[in-house]
Amino acid sequence: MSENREIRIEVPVLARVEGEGALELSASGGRIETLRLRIFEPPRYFEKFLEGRGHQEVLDVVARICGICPVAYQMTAVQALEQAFGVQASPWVIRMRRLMYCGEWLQSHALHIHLLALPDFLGFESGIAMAARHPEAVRRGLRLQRLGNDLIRLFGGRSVHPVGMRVGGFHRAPDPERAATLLEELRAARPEAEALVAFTASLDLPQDDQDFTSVSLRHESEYPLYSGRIVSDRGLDLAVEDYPKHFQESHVAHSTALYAHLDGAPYLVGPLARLNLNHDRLSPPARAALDATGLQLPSRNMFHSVIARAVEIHEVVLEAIRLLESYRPEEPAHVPVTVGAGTGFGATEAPRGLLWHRYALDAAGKVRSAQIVPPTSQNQARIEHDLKRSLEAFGLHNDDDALRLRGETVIRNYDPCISCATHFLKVRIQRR
Amino acid sequence: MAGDDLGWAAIEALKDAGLDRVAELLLLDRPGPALVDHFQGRNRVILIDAMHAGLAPGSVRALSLQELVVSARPPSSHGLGLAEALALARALDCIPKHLHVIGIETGPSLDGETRSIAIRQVVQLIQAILNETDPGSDRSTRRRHPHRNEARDSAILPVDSTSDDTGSPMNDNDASAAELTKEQRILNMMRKVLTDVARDTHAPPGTKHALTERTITGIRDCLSLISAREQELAEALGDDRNLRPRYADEPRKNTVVPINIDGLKKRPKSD
Repeated sequence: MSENREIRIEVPVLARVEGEGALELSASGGRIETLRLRIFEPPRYFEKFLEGRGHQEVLDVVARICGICPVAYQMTAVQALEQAFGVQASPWVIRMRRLMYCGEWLQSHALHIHLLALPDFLGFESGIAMAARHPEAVRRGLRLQRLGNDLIRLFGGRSVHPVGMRVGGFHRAPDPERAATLLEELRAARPEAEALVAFTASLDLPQDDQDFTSVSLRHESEYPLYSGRIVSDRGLDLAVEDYPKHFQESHVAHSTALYAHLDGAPYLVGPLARLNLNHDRLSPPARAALDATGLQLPSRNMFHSVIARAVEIHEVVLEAIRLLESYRPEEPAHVPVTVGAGTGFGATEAPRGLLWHRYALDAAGKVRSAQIVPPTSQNQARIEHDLKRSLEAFGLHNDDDALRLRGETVIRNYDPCISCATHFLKVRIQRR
Repeated sequence: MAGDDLGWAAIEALKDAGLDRVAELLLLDRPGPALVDHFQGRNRVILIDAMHAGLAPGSVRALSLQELVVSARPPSSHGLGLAEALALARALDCIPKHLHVIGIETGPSLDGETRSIAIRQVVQLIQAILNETDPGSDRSTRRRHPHRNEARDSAILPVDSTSDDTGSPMNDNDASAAELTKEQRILNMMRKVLTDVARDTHAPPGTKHALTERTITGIRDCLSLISAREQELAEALGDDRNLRPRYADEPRKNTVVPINIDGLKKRPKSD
């Protein structure tokens, strides 16, 4: 570019991503020299808030980190607390936690696909604008999202910041009649969830293969959700507590969120990373629906994330049906807990990717220190890398509006939750 | 946020007033797009929510659908509030035929007495709506949880005007009320700007003020005129305004007497 100008483009800040941030890039000779994903959402200090709090308060506090994935924070925290106290949750509790977690994946993915990502691929400014032309697609998203919320509500009393979990299990077992009703609704939604996989695979998605490292949990027999070892497609295979040995968090001047690197390099967490590493763990019907699309895995195209989310919606609907079919209430719905000093670690797969917690507790069960590594922090370096690569491949000769839209589309693939990461999007392009 | 539970408190008061016998009362906790689902098959829906609209805390206002939808922003996964949910419902053509949105102004300075008065106003308003000609058998009174200033750009309909409301979000009877509301908003904004100018130009004692004495007197006179006109408009709308500031230790001239509404209800005769 021979142009020498500085342009400020005001992108609707909350346009289908969460939080407060900006994108700054400077380009010369058709190449990007610097690119920064500036996150200026104020720090939220949740880890410090937790210090001195009793273990009973932790699940209620961490749920407030996010209104979309509170279950993920609760599940990860409860794992860590139970490990610190030497508590072994019962197999029934583990199954029910997995069932509740299915609800969060379902509602979060359904919302993202139908209201946030789909407008990009169908050419609309927003989900609301798209709703008038594609009402059935939007209605499908709303139906699936409601089902997910109902699953969370079954265990948590409410879908936002649920209150049903406790260290050792749940405060009470869900009502069998409500569980049976939900089972019938999930069975009715199963064909819709299966059709969603083919629908997303039929979208005209950009082709842009990139080299990246996928990281996720891997369970010995299940598609990873509630538990597993931390693995990568470059041979990493770690116990949850060994995460800090290879993953480092660091501050950068332009972001209030921490950046995470795997042995000094960016990496990807989330639906595409999970699917790349665990497609062999899908249930047979989910695997069959995926195979029918012809999608080759592992995929190097970040735009395949929308297909990965649809596959995961199908998987959790099937999994929720399976778990509900054998549902029997168990009382008490928790095992006894003896409080003591200790340190515990937790890792689960939040809808947006790997979530890792560590808590050190004193003899009274109060938090001495806490460390929470959310998925968006882990994806930030990868998003910057992807943006640089994607915008250059797209072509910097395109006008600012086109560059902004492509940049936003790239970012939305990651469904970033800047609120979780601290907590997007003004674009400032400088061309020389 | 202080007073964020005003909608829920209103629903409890509606239950106490026995309105659960004539309408389905639901408490919704941040439903987001799920609000659309709650509209399905409903003919009449009343939404009650706390709001920030720059009014006096405790002010109760009926809000128009059109103005709420205009204020909708492109939704994010976390930022899909009432305005966005209503815009989505309208795009999907599933807005109930008769939709009322009632906002209750909240804020940190909302005291218990003002809160009680506001809740009573909501009950009266909804009783008036439900006493209208029944447009259908299915009625719902719902409450959702606010995330932000959804009513900031809304047309604000005075409460009493809705007693003449036929149920549509905006009708001919609302036109004059909407005009008055616009004037109220202009007055409100002028008052804010003038007080901001006074605050921003404040000079410590002993230093020369940036404004001339004539300008300062002019600001005072303007504020007096604004207050007088606001009072006239409020009286014309039948709105009971009592915005005079008071000291925390100032004796109150009125006393709140708790009434057990259940005790006032007609009891079924025992045979």
